[in-house]
Amino acid sequence: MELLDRYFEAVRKHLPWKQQDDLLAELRANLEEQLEDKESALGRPMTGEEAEAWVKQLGSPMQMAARYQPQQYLIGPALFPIYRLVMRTALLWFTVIYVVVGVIQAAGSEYPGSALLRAAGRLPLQLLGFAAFITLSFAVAEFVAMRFSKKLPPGLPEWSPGSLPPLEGKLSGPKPRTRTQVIGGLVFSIIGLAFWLLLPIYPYLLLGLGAAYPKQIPFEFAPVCWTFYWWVAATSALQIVWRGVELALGLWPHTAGINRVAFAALALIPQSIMLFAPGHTYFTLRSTADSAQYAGTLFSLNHGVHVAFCVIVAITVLQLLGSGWQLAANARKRSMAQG
Amino acid sequence: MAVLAQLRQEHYGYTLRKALVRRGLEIEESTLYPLLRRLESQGLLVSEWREEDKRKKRFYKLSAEGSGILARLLQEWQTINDSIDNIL
Repeated sequence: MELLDRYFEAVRKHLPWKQQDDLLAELRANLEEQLEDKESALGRPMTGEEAEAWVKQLGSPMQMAARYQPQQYLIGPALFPIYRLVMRTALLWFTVIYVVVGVIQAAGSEYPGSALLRAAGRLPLQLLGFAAFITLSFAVAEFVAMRFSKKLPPGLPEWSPGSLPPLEGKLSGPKPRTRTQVIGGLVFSIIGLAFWLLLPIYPYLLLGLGAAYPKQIPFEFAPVCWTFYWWVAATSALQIVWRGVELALGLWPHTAGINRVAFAALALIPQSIMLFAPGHTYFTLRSTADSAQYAGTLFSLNHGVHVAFCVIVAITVLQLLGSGWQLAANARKRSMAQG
Repeated sequence: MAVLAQLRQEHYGYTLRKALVRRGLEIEESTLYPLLRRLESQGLLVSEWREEDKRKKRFYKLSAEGSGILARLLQEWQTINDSIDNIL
């Protein structure tokens, strides 16, 4: 029957090429025999309409072929909660960083208002690009996990009830983290560090079409900014290693408080480098010939960054003190409870 | 479970479908034929190509591993069935 042959050819196009002949030979044998049975029951060949109705109930060629393949996801149910958490956090942080960078750029431009408006107009496209970057990363992770899951070493330790975090309210301090949050935090840190390391090479990751703009402004980063940059990279790498250790050893239900203290202390290192930068100079003029024209703007820019770091360091120190106090209080409660 | 049970006897796709239909289990071709391949890839079935009535067909039957799994599935099904009976 010609219609059936056309159906087989259409199915073939959607089958994995290595198995096409084998799968089609089997499908053909089964369906042709079914057709013969139908026609012998009718006592005549099927009419065009009957044949069409029968082939239609077999399902579309794509559907038929898809059922011969394993279920496929771009991001599967195991990774999806982590993906959602990372996406939410990353987009929030991206927006914050974008706004800070946009304000700094605008401050150094001739028309700050229009520069800010342009930056705001570019934000949706940048967010979309960043979201695509995260989605692609997770899709690759899903592909690797599905394809090589049997070859990968056993990853996460088995869940144990003993690892459940203490009840809320018994101890003060940060809310106990779920496993999804810990994995999400780790993935977010890795993506964040990759993004941070790629920024100097591919500034359009953050600035998009505006990446050409910083080259046109009369200011450039002072050496202290690069020291800050590498310290941020190093402390982020340290956090990734620590989060990996937490996950591998199952320490995460008990380390939320320590992490807050440790990460705040780590963050103070690059922040202090900026706070105590020689002469509070974060930007310098590309050419000394511009000094007469841009000296005022440069002073305002450096002063603004210094004030911003004063505020940031103050917030971090307060967080550090608060987290340290909670950690000490919880340790006291635990030792009293143990008698 | 029905497919595994029916394949205690050797069948190829179409005769298996007919046998299941005779026992009251209608199953679509696009569900059954790919299912046979999946069960085989999981080691629950074994298959071989053979010629019958001048047509090459792929015959399936339950593997040793499949027999063990079927026994466990039947036991579980029996337990659930008994529980439901008790509730009703």
